[in-house]
Amino acid sequence: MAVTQTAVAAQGDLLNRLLEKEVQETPWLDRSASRSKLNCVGLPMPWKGRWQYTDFQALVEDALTLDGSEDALQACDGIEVNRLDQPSSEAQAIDPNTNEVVSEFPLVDVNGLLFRSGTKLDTTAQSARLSITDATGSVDRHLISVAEDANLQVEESFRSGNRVTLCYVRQNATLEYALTMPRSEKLGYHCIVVWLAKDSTLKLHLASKGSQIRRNDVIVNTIGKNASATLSGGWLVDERDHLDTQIYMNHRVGSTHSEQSFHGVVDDRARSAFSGFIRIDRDASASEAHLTNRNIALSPLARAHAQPELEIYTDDVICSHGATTGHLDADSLFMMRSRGIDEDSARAMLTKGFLRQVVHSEGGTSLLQL
Amino acid sequence: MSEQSPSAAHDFIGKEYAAGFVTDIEQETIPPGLDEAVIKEISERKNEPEWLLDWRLQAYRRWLEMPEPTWAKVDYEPIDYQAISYFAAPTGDKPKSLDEVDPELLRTYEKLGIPLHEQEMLAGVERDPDTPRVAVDAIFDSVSLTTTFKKELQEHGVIYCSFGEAVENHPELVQQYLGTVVPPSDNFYAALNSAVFSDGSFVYIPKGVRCPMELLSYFRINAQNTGQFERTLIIADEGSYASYLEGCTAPMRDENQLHAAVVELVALEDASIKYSTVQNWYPGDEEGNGGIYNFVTKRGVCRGARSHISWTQVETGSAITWKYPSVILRGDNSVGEFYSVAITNNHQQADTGSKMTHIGRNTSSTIISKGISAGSSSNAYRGRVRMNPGAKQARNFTQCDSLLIGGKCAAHTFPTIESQRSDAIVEHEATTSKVSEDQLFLCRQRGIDAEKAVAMIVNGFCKEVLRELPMEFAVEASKLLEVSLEGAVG
Amino acid sequence: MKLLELRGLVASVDEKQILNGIDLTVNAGEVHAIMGPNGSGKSTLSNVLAGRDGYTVTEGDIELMGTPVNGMSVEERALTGLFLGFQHPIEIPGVTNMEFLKVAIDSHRISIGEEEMNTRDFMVQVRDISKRLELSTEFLKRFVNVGFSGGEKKRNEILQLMLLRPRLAFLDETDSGLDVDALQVVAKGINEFRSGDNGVVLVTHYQRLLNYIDVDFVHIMVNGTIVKSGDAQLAHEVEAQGYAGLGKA
Repeated sequence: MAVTQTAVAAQGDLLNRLLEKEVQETPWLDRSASRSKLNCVGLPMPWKGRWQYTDFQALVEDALTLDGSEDALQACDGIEVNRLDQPSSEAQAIDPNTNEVVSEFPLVDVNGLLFRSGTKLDTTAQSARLSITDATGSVDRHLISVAEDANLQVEESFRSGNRVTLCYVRQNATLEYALTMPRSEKLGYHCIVVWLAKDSTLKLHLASKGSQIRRNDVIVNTIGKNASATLSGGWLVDERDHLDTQIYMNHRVGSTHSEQSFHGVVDDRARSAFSGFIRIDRDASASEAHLTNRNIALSPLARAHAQPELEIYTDDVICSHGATTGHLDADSLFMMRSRGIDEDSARAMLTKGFLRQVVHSEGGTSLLQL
Repeated sequence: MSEQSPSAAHDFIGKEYAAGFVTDIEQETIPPGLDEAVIKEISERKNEPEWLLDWRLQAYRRWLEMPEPTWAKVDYEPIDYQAISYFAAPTGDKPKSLDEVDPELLRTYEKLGIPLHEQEMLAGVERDPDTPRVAVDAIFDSVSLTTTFKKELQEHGVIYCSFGEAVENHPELVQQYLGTVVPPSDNFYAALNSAVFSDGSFVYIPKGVRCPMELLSYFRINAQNTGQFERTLIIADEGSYASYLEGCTAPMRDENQLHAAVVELVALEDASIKYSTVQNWYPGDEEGNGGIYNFVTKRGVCRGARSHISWTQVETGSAITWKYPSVILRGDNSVGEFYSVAITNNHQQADTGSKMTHIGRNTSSTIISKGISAGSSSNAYRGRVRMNPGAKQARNFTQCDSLLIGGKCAAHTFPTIESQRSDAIVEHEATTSKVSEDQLFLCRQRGIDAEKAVAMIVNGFCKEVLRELPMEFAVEASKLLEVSLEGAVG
Repeated sequence: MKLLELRGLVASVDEKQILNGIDLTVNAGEVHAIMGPNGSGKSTLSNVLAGRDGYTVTEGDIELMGTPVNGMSVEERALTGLFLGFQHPIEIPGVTNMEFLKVAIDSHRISIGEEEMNTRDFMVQVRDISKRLELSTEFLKRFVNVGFSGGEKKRNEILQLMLLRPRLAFLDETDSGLDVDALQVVAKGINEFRSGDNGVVLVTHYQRLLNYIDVDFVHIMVNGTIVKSGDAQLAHEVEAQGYAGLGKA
């Protein structure tokens, strides 16, 4: 009981310090939604629920110390860019849909209070490309909007800091998003939230290494019929690194499809966690959702946790998920060795093969040396 | 026309609750409310030794400090623990033989099909010399009425009696094992149970003995405003085997009744325990009024090498089910299994699943869970498989399937895999499907009525689990699931 | 005896009118073919006859064995003697084919006051039919249509037909997706089934099934009505001219 009270007090203290640090220099940005949500939902209890494998407090404390405002935008064609740190005559909602981001992802609102740099990006051409680079040491936020019938390709690299990108994919538009996360000594929180309108398509691809503490959230909402999302990716976490990847696939309307496949490798003393949550709303009949997550631990001290979850509120659905944790296939190893390949090379080949099944982006392939 | 198939599906799952009658009998109950005095009174009425009273009181003090768990996917009005009576028993001294038992009670068991005379068989089971016999421990509200076949079991050294008798006659065994698998502080309901548990079953199978018959404990809640808090402890000594069955029913009442049981299983080296449950507590009416809150902690520990614990459950009853039969695989090469069918209809809510904790080397576990939701019900599988650092080459396979009938029900799957071993293999698979209109149409076009068609499809869906039930119970389960044809055609 | 009579049948699906007035009579001993292009309403007709949910008769009458079907459920119509052969046979995971067939035949027997079939007789009969349809008995133990090849699924339909012995078999695109060998086996089954007591309606897109089965009447269905009826010769005209020419007639 006493312990619980201390924890509650610590949470309250952290929340107060957070609310005090709300960035005041940008009155043209409306941060009220983030503030009121944090105020009313509060911060989650540490080491519980969605935060059972990742130190939530450390990530918030880290965000409180970050004050860099490096420009993260590198190249873009066919896109109108508005910098959020530039004064604007009228107040801008930083995230009109913020209430839809479920309460289990409060760091999205922490970012909403604290971000100092960011961009609003709207496609102006039928086909556009965009590259977002590392902005080490800053809290930043990007609002991406893909216009009707347009196609946008985003390449993003993220190392550390705190970043949220919010993407609106309008009717019949396509967003292809490749996120690469190289290794870092620091802490990092990254979140992508996507809303998919009618007939739109999302192809999201992740490739990641670990960092001291790294949490990567992906939240996808289908809000129009026939929207479809394909999420894939892989990670290789080694040394004493940590990587926690959480996917929240939210089917909110009917006839929407999602397909997820993620492979993870943990080595040395590293720890990886994966949670793939699929929710099918009462109004989302005739939806189809599939998820597979496979994990391989290469060393005795490596830890892999997997948590695929289904929450389904209507009967007219086709859903499946599967998760495994295991090790390299002994038969394959034996076969390769019997052909004269030494054990280390055989292991390396099998590990690469395992990741190649899901990692196909250029950035991902070179990051994971496939 | 268009309403026909859903309503037929509904009729099938929502068959009238046959065990819903009340037995009119004089009872003494301790008035509602819970404090140390009530615990002392329960303990006194049961003539318990000092150590057990102390154990209860400690549990009670822990319980006072514990918060009620809220993580399960169930939703209900807060329970007023002071409005519940913690003890109810038929008036008079404990009957010495069946002749002394109130005939009204005997009729109750007759109606339920539970044999209290040793020459009888479970209702629905045809007499067949090959069918293993069943010893019954009948627990009515807070007390055990009778245990059959005691003598014959004694000849094999098997102890099968009510928990109260075990405390009286085998205190050393009870003291040695009680709370070793589910400690009183384990969770809120386990703490409450430890403080107020009334009766339950006790089983001890000595070294090397294969228990000659199935052991059945039949739990019946009858009294109003009364909770049932039974405690079961089963110990299988080295190289022994036991198959234990558990059945439960309650009258239809408008208010919710609390059932918070604790079951502990201990399997020593080379021992094997098979524990089967057909849970048919009153589920509440169509609007969701009444029904049992079934908040149960069941756990077994495979203590010795090569020991084996298997849980099989068919859950059709209760307004709310909160239950995770689990196995701690401590002994090297030990095996844990969990087979479950959970059906929810109307406003029933079930949050059930299993935890497999692998500690010993080469341990293996299997989880097969089948959830069927209909009406406005909600059915969740929640599980955790943990491979501890010492669990060399441990393995788990988990398969969770959900079947939905109608568009208002919900099915959830919340598994967690925690692996701390690179050489351990954990596999989890889950699917969600529905009884499709197409399937029903095909069956009906071939002349099979919709009710039978749904029964057939549901039965097919559950087959892997039903197969695990002992014959005696398969009969009861098949009645509950409307199994047709199983066994008739090869 | 009249097995089926349709008079001015108008029916709709999801409030969209698909059948625009159909007249058709099938007597015992007759084999009819209903041919028509995709979307002409052939499958809708099968579903309306069988009484499937969502298919509504808005005008006209259907009589099965001389009895109006109004208010009869799917299974009542089946037990009256209507058998629907499915264009896309449905899978039922978890339910073995054997189990399914046994319950189906018992339902028929119980409806006419007979006892359930004893398991041995049932097995003998099922094995015999399977053999004639060149189906291995192994498939009886498999789940209904799950993992069956296209040909196996269709042969399974014919097996059900031969086992249940309905008065009227209404076979929807039974020939689709079959190679020549499978087609011959299916045709053989249908030919063995037909007798002076029962009737068969073959619903098909192509006339190739008619190379193996002699039909008494051919009806051409376009846009939800029968635009032309004739004898077997009509099928060959369709083959030569296509439906377009006939539709205008």
